Amino acid sequence: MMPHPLAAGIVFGYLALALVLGIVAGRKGSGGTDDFVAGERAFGPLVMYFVIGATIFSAYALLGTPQRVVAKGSDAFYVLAYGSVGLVPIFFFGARVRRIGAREGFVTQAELLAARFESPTISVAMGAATVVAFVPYLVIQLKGAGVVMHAVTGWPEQLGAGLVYAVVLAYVLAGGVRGVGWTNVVQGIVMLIAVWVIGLWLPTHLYGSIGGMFDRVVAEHPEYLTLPGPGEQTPATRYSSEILVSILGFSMWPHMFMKCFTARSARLVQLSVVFYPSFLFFLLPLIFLGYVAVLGGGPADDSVLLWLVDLVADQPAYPLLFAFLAFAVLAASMSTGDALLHAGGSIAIRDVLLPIESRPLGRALIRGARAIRLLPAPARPGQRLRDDDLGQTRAMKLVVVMLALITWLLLADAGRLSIVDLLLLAYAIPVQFLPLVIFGLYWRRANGVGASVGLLAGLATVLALFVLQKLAPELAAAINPLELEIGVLGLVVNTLGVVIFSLAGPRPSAALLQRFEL
Amino acid sequence: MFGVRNELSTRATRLSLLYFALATATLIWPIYPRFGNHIEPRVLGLPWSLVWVLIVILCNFAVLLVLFRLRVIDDREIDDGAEPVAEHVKHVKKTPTGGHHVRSQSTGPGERAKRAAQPKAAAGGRE
Repeated sequence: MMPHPLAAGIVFGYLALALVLGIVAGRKGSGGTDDFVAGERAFGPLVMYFVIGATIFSAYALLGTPQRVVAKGSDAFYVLAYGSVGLVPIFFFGARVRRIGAREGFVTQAELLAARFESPTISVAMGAATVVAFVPYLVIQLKGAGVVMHAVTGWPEQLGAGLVYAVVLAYVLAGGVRGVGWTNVVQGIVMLIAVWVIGLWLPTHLYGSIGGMFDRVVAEHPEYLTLPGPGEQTPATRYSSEILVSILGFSMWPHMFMKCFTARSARLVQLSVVFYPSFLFFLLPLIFLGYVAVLGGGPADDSVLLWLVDLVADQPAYPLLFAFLAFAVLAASMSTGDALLHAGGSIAIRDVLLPIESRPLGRALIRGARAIRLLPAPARPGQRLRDDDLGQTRAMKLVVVMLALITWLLLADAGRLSIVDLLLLAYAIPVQFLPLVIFGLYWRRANGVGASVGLLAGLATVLALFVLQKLAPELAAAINPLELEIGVLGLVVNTLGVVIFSLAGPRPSAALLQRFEL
Repeated sequence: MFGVRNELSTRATRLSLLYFALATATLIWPIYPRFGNHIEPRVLGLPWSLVWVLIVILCNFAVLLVLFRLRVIDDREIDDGAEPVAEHVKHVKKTPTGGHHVRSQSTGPGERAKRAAQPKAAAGGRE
């Protein structure tokens, strides 16, 4: 017997719908790699809008925002703050990236940069770092799905998350990016409605109005409304540095950046940046809910949303409310999870495997996969995977499945492995791509030597500091006395590397610069 | 520097970059703690610390919308040549495949036509 029959009905109905929609949408494509990765560059404004929005608003945002209010007070506004500027860089470089991508046939960020800097090393390093960054991010999405499925059905988190992600896998594999796009539309709409309904209704029901609720917070817990917050946890400087890193790294997440390639036109890329703030307003009700929990003494962990709904368990609308909420979290988890899985598969093959195809390791991998029939036999003997479209698509799908499986297994260990630690590393990685993108697109003098040195030095710095923090925290503190984010330190080293070695190295050829509109 | 040849466009790009740098500054130290990080005055019941951030979001939205409408920031589509033809064929091919494509379809060629009609204001004026 399900503890919440209505919610279970809606959740399972939704899973079925997502499955059908994803698979139907996927059948429209031609089935080649270009289709699987970039949806034949055919996303219209409606799909584009929800793809960007729904991808960003993950289960982490949904479960984590009210949780952050309870734990740290107004520090939670930082999501709104960085979101207000975070996508703006795409408004400036997105149109150019989309044009270059369409002309040259690029579908990933690393392909673009590897071509600009004429260096396959860059592609491999970026691709590998990205996949590493995706894993903890994915684990959090699965965790969100697991939490909801547990609340709805009483199943263990591992089982619930497994079922949800089996559906996600099915539509990602069947539909490629097009399936992802259309299911994101459904998920985006659901999230918007559910969160607004609950976020406005609950404070009004309990405290008369939103203003009434804040009156109570001002009277009882004023420290939750300004920095440094309860227990003086967040000094304004630390809050500021968090915002800055997030702004710099936001548009560099490869699954975000890739969306520049999937849009139907350069104008559409810009339009989606313009409308992005409407998704930020969707976080507002979550902040209200956080303050409801502050007043009611709610738990400061990811169960706080469910705790909030239980406040009105005696109301006739409770089952509906609960179902809505479960739906919203699930939609958030799935819409971010599918984009990550999809991007992870594309990146691992196109950016990591293909560039090393002619090296011994790559050759051995491909030969092995073909021998055990994981990859189809090439159309003619000796054909490279790069020229074998069907084989490439299959390889991407294999990686998607493996990534999902690894994440699902990590979920079982989530307590011991400290996902929070891994997230620290994950967030430090995308910001390392910033100097390459900006200098690559706007500085004629930037060359492959500078880019490789900068990127590798930046990634190495981040990794070294991360390991040091784990193994020798005192030494790490001595090196980094201001406790700056490790991503920032990597960024400094990286930028210096790109500039100095570019100036020392050869000028890029005029023909190359012309291809990149420089 | 930004590869946009048109002078007006270059100036608009610089000005808007300056604007967004300032907008970022209002959200962090030292401006936010000094002017934003207070409970009063409250607007519609919300604390000022939250209202401040919401105002910045609204301003950024307004600025982005104006920039988008004026087409002053690099918005060129793929230049003339082989690509646009291929693109066009793709769109035409796609029309009959489903209802949902028709809606977004209408903006693509429509925009293209509009741009062709007023080359000064759009892509052509920038070459």
